[in-house]
Formats: sequence, C-alpha cells, structure tokens
Amino acid sequence: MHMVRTFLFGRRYDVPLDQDSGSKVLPWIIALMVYLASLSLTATMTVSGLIGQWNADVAGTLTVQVPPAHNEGRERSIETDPRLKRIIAILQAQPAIQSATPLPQDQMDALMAPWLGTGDFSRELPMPWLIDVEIDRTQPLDLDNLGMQLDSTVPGVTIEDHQVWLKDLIVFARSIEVIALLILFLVTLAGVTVVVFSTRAGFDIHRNVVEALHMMGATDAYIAGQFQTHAFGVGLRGGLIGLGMALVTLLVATYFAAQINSTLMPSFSPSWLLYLCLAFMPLASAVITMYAARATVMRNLNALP
Amino acid sequence: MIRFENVGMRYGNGPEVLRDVNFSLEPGSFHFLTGPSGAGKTSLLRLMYLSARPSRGLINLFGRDIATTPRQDLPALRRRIGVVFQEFRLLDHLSALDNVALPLRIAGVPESQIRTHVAELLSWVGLADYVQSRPATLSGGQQQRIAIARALISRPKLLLADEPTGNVDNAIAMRLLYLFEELNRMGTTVVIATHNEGLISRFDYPVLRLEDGELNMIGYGSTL
Ligand SMILES: Nc1ncnc2c1ncn2[C@@H]1O[C@H](COP(=O)(O)OP(=O)(O)O)[C@@H](O)[C@H]1O
Ligand SMILES: [Mg+2]
Repeated sequence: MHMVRTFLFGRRYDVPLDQDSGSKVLPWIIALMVYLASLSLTATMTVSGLIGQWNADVAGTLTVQVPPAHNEGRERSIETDPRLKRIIAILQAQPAIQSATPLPQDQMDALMAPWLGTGDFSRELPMPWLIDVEIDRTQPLDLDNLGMQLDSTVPGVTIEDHQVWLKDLIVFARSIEVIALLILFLVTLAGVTVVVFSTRAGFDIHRNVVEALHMMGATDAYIAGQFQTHAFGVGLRGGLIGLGMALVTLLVATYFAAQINSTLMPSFSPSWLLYLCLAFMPLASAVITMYAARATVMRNLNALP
Repeated sequence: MIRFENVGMRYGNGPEVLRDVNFSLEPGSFHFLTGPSGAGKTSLLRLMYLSARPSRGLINLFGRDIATTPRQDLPALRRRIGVVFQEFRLLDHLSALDNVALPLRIAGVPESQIRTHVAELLSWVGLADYVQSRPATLSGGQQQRIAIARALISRPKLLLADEPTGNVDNAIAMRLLYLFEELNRMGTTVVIATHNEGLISRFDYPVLRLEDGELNMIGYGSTL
C-alpha cells in the first residue's frame, strides 16, 4: 500500500488521514452513492433509449382498422374483400401517404396467437383487417377529414395514430427519466455532503498537524493537497466498488430480462454508451470527492491566521 | 529584522496578556527572553512567528507591516522563520528524519538534497542512531532535539525557540545553546525564551524580561 502510494503520488502524506476510522467507512458510503447513481443513470439512459426506439418504430405509421364483413368466415382473403380495395384506394390517393399495405392473414394469426392460440378456432372469429399505413409527416394530412371519408365508404373504419398513444407513453417515460435524473442529482448532493462533513472531521482530528504545517510556512494549497490526494483515492476506491456492484446488478437484470422474452416487455439490453458512461463513474466520483475535500479544507484554513 | 510598536494582545475577550510592547531586533542579534511562567513569553513568540495577531499596535517583520501584508504572502515569511515550539509539535506518524525534512519538503527542495542534509543535522544534535524512530518512542529530550533540528534545517533568517532546553539536562542544554550560537554566527537572528536564569548567565547576550505583560530590556546575561 505504501509502495503504491509512493509510486502514485511521489511520497507519503504529511497528514495521516489514512489512519482515521472515518476513512475506512467513507469509501463504502461513496460506493453506495455511486451504486445508486449508476442505477439512476442506467434508468435514465434505458428510458431515453426506449423513447427513441418507439419514436423510430411508429413515427411514420398509422394503422387503419377495417371491421370484418358480416358474412365472412374461413375463406376470407385480402383479394376477395372489395371493401378493402376501396379503402386502400382512398388511402393511396392522399399525397402524404406513401404506402398502405394490409397485414397478411398469417401475420394477423401470429399477433393473435398469444391470446387465442394457433388452432383453427381463431379463423372462425370475425377479425378486423389491419392496414399498415406509412406516411410522410412533413406533408399535411387531415386525419379527421380522412377518417370521415373512410367511415362513409365503409362504416366502422377507424384510424389509429400511434403518435397519440405514444405521446402519453412518452410523457410517462419522460417523468421516469426526470425522476431518475433527480435521484442522480440528490445522490451526488448527498455524497458531497458526506465528504464535506468527513473532511471537516478529519481536519479537526488533525488540527495539530495542520497547524504545525501552517506555521512551518506551508501554503493553503500544500495543506489542501494532502487532503485532496487522500480524498481522490477514497473517491476512486468507493467509485470502483460502487461500479462493481452496479455491473453485477445490470448483468443479473439483463439475464432475467432475456429469460422473460416477451413481446409485451420493452427489451432491456444496456447499450455500449451506458457502459462507457458507467466506466467514468469512478473517475467522476474521485474528482467530485477531491474537489469537495479541497473546498472544505481551503475554507477551514482561511480561519487560521 | 523585527520591530514591535505599542503592541497589545489578548485572547478572545480576555485581559491583555501583552501591553505596550516596544522593541526591535537587529539582524544577526541574539536575545534571551525571560520572565515567570504565564508572563506572556509564548504569546510574544506567537506574534513573532505569525501564529497570532496583535489586538493593537504595529508589527514589522522583515521590513513588512504584518497588518497590511496579504494573507497569501505570509507562508513565504513563515518559511524564513524557524520555530522550536514549547510542546515540540512533532508529527507522530513520521520518523525523526521525515519530521526534520518537513520544512524542506514544504519549501519544495528536491528530494535528492533532503536526505543527506537531514541525516547530517540529526547526528549534529546527537540523534544519528534515531533517524528512523518515531517521536513517541523517544524521550522528551530527544524529541526536543528533533524539534530543534527541524527549526534549523532550512537555515532560517530568524530562529525563535520556546523553552528549548526545558527537557534536557544541563550538559545537553549547553550543547544546544552552542548550536544556536553557531547558527547565529552564520547570520541567523536568534530569540530564546527560557526561565532558566542559570543558563542565561553563562552567556553574554542581551536579556528581555516579560513581567505582567510588559517587556523590558534588563541587561546582559553574564552581568545578571
Ligand atoms: N490559547 C490561550 N487562550 C487564552 N489564554 C491564553 C492562551 N494561551 C495563553 N493564555 C494566557 O496568556 C497568558 C500568557 O501565557 P503564555 O504566553 O503562555 O506565558 P508564558 O509562555 O510566559 O508562560 C497566561 O495568563 C495564559 O493563561
Ligand atoms: Mg510558554
């Protein structure tokens, strides 16, 4: 330990901060802070990733739903339903609409399978037709007007704009994001507070040494440097422990998310960007701890003559 | 070198422990400071080594008025002063060598020059065998000699020693005083606070006496 410190920082401390009982607890408190901060960061980045994914998925699409005809049964098909043709023709006439494609029967079956099973039974049920519509959002499209036009052609046709329900989902996701960021901020604040108080305690414990250094002509920066170097080490150690705990949690969460394998659950697979950000947590923790300690010591030194 | 004009000092709201102190020390001079316990010797030295501020009056140190000197200039002034504290103020977690090396490290002297200097001075004060010892494992007299070595190591312009012979027998006390004389001959201004009047009388240096917070020059050691 002494060798490493000498190697890292050139020489031993003049202020024996590493011998305080507090400096054994502090890295663990910081580890906990970094752990919580890492989870908040993970939540924030995952949610904002999801929002982006949803947006990309549905940004340029509408779904038009055509109710089943009264007499259709087993042999219904896209080709034989004249109503479908008329609806598609109207849709394709809109300049803002790039394509309108009915969902093939086998895809419908796949969508329904989790609820209805795969038996012939599902074919007996009257199912609406779904038409995937790709639109160009830069061009004007009066959805209300289009809706009325479609409804008068085939009664019961509805247009589903994903943007609408997505908007609500995004508001919800954003609020999760804001809460996670708030937690990140509060955890940082709590961490800084803990460091400030523990530095102040260390300063008081070693007041004799500090005053001796001060009277030998040590500058405030020299004395603060002693605390600062120590604090950097504590912050780094705590940060690495916290990061380790966060990574274990992430791995476990990723594993279970993969096990669930449901189309209902948003996929949880941490991005490389998240890992990159997490990799910086120990350094951030070390730097924040260092500056909090420095500011505290400088303030206390100012009270010396 | 140092000039006090009408200096008064009090701790907090207490009574003045120093009153109307006037004196000046020429560069290269050697003075004893004496007076009964509680007379204010330590307080006067604290004013001189800038660890306390006067409540009134003017202190001029190295040609600078202390009251108007910006705080960031004070460390450089302090580095020109060597202090032997009455209670030593050694750092217990450091070896004798590292304790004595401290002023040099604070001043940014390269590590390569520090070791031999320090070892040399430690053997000068008779501690050659205790270079790696922690202060707590040494006797009061040995600790005092580490404190003295630490005050001398950076060849200060002004040496202030507070009861530097309080914990050693007479033979070692004389030896330490010869060391201070040696330093004085090389140009350092020396002030030694002591209530050991027997020791004072064996040297022929001017004696300042503090009594009830007032300072007077009372003559030369050998004539008292
Ligand atoms: N830190 C302090 N706070 C309050 N009073 C003090 C303090 N230090 C010394 N005094 C008082 O100042 C007076 C002078 O003390 P001091 O300078 O230590 O005298 P000496 O060194 O001559 O024994 C004493 O009455 C002492 O009680
Ligand atoms: Mg005293």
